[in-house]
Amino acid sequence: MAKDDKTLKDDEALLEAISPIVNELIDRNYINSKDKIAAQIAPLIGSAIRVQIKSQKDEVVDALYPVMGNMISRYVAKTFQEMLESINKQIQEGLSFRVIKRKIQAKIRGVSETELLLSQNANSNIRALLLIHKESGIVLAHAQNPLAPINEPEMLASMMSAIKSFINDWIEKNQEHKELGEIEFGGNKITIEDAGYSYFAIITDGPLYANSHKKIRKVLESIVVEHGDSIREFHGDLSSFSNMTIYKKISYLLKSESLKQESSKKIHPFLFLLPLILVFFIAWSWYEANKDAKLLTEVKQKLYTTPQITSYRIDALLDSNIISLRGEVPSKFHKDLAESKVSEILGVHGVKNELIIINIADDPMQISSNISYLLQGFNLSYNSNISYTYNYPKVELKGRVSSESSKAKLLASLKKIDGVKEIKDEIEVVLEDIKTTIYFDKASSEIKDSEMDKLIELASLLKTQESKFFIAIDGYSDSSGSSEMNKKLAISRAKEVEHFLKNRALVSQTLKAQGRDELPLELGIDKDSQEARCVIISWKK
Amino acid sequence: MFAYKVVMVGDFATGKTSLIKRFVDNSFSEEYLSSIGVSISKKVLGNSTMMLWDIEGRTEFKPIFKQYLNGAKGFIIVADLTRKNTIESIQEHIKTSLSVVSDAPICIALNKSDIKSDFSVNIEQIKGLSANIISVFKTSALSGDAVEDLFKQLNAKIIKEIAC
Ligand SMILES: Nc1nc2c(ncn2[C@@H]2O[C@H](COP(=O)(O)OP(=O)(O)OP(=O)(O)O)[C@@H](O)[C@H]2O)c(=O)[nH]1
Ligand SMILES: [Mg+2]
Repeated sequence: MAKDDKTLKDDEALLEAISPIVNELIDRNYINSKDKIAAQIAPLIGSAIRVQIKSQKDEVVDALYPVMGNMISRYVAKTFQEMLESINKQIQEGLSFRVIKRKIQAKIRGVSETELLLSQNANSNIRALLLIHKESGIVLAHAQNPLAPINEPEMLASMMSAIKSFINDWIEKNQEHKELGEIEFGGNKITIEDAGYSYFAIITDGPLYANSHKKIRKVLESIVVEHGDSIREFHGDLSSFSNMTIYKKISYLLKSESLKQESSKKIHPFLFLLPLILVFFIAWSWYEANKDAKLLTEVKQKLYTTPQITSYRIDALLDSNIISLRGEVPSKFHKDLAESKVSEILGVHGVKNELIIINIADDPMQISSNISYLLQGFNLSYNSNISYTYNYPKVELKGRVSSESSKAKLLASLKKIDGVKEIKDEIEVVLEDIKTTIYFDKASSEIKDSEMDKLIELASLLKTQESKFFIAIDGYSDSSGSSEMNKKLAISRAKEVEHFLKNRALVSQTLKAQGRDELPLELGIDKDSQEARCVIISWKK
Repeated sequence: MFAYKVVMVGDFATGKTSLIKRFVDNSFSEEYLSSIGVSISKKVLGNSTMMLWDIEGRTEFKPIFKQYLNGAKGFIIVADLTRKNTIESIQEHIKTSLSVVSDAPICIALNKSDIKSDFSVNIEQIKGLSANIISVFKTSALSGDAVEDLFKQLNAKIIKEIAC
């Protein structure tokens, strides 16, 4: 322990010395070459600590995390800033009603307009945070949003650790010094924040806010500082974690996140007074000359100033005093409210309500990507090529599978996807053609090497087929020699093939081997030819 | 409250997936679907949560992917009583497992005990392969024979070790 302490202190001193240099390096070099940065940081840190630590990489990261985290976040912040700038430009270029609305909202909420745009676009939302023991994939602590919980966090954590080790192994082999940073599936994103013996997995719908990322890193930092030892020594006993401050810290992250979102919805109506005047004024000066546009503006204003629907994007179109409403709202309540508010407006003669009700579980994009994800897996493991078209809320499936049971499995799993309401399947069940003929030498029932390949191929095909079916193994012989002898040969050839399939290839279907006198006529094989010495394998009907 | 990881190791088609299915779902299927990569199941036993990692079985062409064994608190090595070579592989699987986690307890499952086999196995000899072996079971995922015992005994041993 004493030795470790010393190691740690030395590292800290070193880091204190190098971190300003590193930070400056980042700043200076960022402009010139982004790619080189990683290459420059690595050796710098590397040579500083290589002296003491060779194999204990995790320990180092743990010790350095508080400093490293900052360096990395600086780098990320730079990249992020660029993105923000490009979005800012977009904002300045496009002037529309929505832009003004957003500008005002930004003012009210006191956040940067760009960030607001980001949040509107991505509807970012942390669903859960898991603190995971790196080596075993066990969840040390977790917290989740009760409004959108995730199933089985323990399974997710284990699965992620498996994916991580698989990918990191691949990266190591390819000699790149990177760790897996994020995984995306469906509309969900899992961001991974690594810290030595543990890592954070943050599950969000869409990307993580920049400032939440910062906060998360802070919390992880403090967890590592305070509980690093018990994390390193974790052997499976969770009791040392359950009553610790870790949970509080994590759930605080989640809370501040959801609070922020809620408070944004619950702005006091009074606060709208100021933006209202502003909107009105701008709208009025823009559209004064155009009456239709004026009516439209009024409609949009109404939509905007009705607090329950302020935050949804509703488009209004005007055609000879009839207003069409388009967009997505979460419930019938919102849909009706929008219609009634708009129809109150003087000059509106009718409302065509084309709003679509979408709750979170029913987001068609989400459903579609879930279906696609499922099908990819299915097609891969059953070697099939089922395709789908998704017309909300109906899924149509086309393609072929080779067994009823795999089809049933697919349909059952599809039904489990939230939001899939109607499945129309045109999946055909087609048994693979397995017909195989094995030829034998004269008076022999030994399987020749040249024929063995065919049997192996057949066996691997049979492994993909259902085991409930029966397989006929029919043995034949040519006409030379006594008929007694030929009967025996026919049967022992069939038995030989049966033995191979059953005991060596471990085929699971039921096999029926028998000797036969007459070759099937339709094959047109001459009873005297060498082709008559054969075994034919086929599905038994 | 305990939570830990256990990995099923063994040759292909020995019944790793089937044993887990029997233990977790109490079900069995004749159908052989060779596992790809890894799949994970969870079983709560008293106040401990066992995360079961079912990995792809070893074949002639593909060794076990060692990274999946990291951080395990115990291993279950599965062999097929009707295929002699899978029993001969046990020794190598022990070696692989212990090379990743040297002090982990191991249970051996000699599976498919419901099928009559044409050779006999020496249980004592298998038990003697390593000091880490705590028990050797003749199991059947089909009938359920000794399956509960297999997992529960490993759980008991692991909990004991964690608690100390
Ligand atoms: N009779 C009998 N059959 C079994 C038993 N356990 C498994 N099987 C069968 O053996 C075959 C292989 O079982 P799996 O559980 O898929 O084997 P696995 O070890 O997971 O195989 P891989 O994933 O390829 O490594 C399947 O057809 C099972 O039905 C058993 O106890 N008795
Ligand atoms: Mg398997």
